[in-house]
Amino acid sequence: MMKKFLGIFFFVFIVLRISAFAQSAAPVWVVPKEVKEKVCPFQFTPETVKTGENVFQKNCKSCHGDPGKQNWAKINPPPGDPASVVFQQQTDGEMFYRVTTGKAPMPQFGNILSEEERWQVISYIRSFNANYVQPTPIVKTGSGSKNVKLRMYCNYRHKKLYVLCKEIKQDKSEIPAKGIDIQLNVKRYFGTLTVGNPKTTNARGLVLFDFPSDLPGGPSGILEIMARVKDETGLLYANQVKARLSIGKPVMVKSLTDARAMWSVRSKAPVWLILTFSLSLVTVWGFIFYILISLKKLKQTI
Amino acid sequence: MDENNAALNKITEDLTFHIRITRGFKIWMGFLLIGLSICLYAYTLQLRFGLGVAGIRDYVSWGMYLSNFVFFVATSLIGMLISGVLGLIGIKWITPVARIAEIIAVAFAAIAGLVIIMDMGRPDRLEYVFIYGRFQSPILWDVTVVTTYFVLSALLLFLTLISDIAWVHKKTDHLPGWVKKTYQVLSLNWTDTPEKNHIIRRCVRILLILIIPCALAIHTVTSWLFAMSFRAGWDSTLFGPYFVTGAFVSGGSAVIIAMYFFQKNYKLHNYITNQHFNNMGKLLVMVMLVYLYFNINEFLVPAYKLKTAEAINLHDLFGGRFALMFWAVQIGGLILPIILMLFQKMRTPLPMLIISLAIFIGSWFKRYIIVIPAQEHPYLPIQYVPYNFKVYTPTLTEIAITLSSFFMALIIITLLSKFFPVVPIRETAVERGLVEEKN
Repeated sequence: MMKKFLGIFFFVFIVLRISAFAQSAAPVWVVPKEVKEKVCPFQFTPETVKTGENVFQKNCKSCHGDPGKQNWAKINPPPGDPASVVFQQQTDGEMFYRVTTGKAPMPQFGNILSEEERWQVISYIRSFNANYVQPTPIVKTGSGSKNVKLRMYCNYRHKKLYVLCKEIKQDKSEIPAKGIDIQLNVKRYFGTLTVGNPKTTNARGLVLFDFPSDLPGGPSGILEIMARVKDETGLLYANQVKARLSIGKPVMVKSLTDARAMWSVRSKAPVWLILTFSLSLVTVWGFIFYILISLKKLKQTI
Repeated sequence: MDENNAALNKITEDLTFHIRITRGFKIWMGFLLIGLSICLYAYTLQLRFGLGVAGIRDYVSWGMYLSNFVFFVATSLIGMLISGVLGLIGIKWITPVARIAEIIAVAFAAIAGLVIIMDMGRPDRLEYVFIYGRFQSPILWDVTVVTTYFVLSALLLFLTLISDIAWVHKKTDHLPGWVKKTYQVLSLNWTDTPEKNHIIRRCVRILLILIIPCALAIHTVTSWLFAMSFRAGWDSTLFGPYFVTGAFVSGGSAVIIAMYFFQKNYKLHNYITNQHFNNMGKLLVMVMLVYLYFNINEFLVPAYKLKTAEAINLHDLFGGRFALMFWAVQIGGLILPIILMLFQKMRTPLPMLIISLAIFIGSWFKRYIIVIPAQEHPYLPIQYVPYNFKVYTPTLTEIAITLSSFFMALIIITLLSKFFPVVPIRETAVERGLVEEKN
């Protein structure tokens, strides 16, 4: 009986150990097959590498360190060196997917970096791999490939935004572009925020957006708004218009050190504290001076 | 009447007998001064090369200096307990002990301020503490209250000395002229008139009342230096009373040690009697029982819950690196002395001296146990630092600088007790009905 128990116990123990090992040892980060084969829509050039380096410095370096120097941040799981074989043996699609979706503690960059920027980072990382040969770029044609010009108009009172889209013909003449998908974005501290769904331009090349009335802006409610042409690939925002509009909700952030507080500087000490301290000090030292005067009197009295 | 005068003369003779420069005094002072010079040399090293000569680093930044500071502040509190609390209640037997307690209070409070300066990397910027001190910071409260308590204790000692100084002035013709002159200046022309006595009595009364809240404040604020910060081991609402009761333990033992040496060296057997040792023993048992009660609360409550960070600290105390020191202090410096002092035979001079020495040393290490382990166990893990940042080991220089504080305190106590009567003459005479207190 005892033996049987021990056997079961041992078996359960082994199973638990193995599963624990599997969990800790295998970094399971499955990339969907169709994404694996995705390729960059543009050719990597020294310019894309340079821009990619900039983006990398600002967004990736704090954890991954400098590629090739193996000086990544000491966190668990280790972020690893992007120049290493483990990284370089991935397809561009896999890299793109991982940068886009993230997996804690790796942040999700899909909303922070544009697709173009993500590809530029990949071109930078690939520059450390001498054997890398870029797959032929596949540029999907869609509305985004049309040469269009955007203009934005704002009705502050009703919080409405109009985006006018005009197609520029080869002879430089402009005609209203119909059937173009326009996406509205707002710049936030960390990445861009998508506002509502894309809308399609009408025959006059116009779309109308109802802008949310409660989106927090700075102290004056100014928001940086972008209207972009969204093509089927959802890839490049070559055609876009930006504007800083005072259309958000003004938010006055009250600093924690504005009011009198325990954690503030001396001049902002709580009044009750200054009073308690000073009154106690004056009282006790008042008595001390009284005693000193008494001592003087003691010496003088006969 | 003649009998009265003879008795009065005898008391004055007895109590001023030690006010003479003897060989023993010279040897003892020589020893203290040589010891102090060696220790001060260590301090010049620290001034030259910075705080790095001590074992304190980024994490354990307070180390031995701060535990020594807490110990000095604690010991000085005994003046308030004996003169203030017991004196105001009107307990008579404290008369010959009160001045000893006040001398210890003055010496330890004065040195406590210096100990803090020892912990400063730039002592030349000391005034910045006052100039730039924030009302919100316990450090400002602490320097304020330490200074105030020192002034109050010194005034109390001086005021109760005035009449005695006048008597000593008359009785010490064997001393050099300048010493006599100093006595005359310090006596403030005191004569036994109702007006003068009235002024002194009123001032002493004010001081005795003031000194109680002030002493409570000095040690409560010292405990707040710790309890006001987020740290496992210090984050306790009990710290104020815990420190204050602990203070009476170390101060009480210091008074008993001093009583023993004064009784033996200054031949004061008729004034500091076995009964006084007996009474001090009882007083010490009482304050130690209260302190034990606070200790049980302070350690049992967090040890029952074992919150993550507290657990690391407590395991280190109960069974880890600090276990030996912790249990030696708690058993040898607290529990065992209490049990021993419950027996009357143990409340006689020599056993009391030995027990008090154990309590006194235990009290010093108790502060070490409060300050250092908590700093070695911060909430955020200590990473990527050299070994001596993680584990605090005091250096020889640091120990020497710490010892200098004891030499200085002993010098102050020696000088005060040498040149002034340790047992109040006038008060003793009044109590024995030899002098009438004129109102």
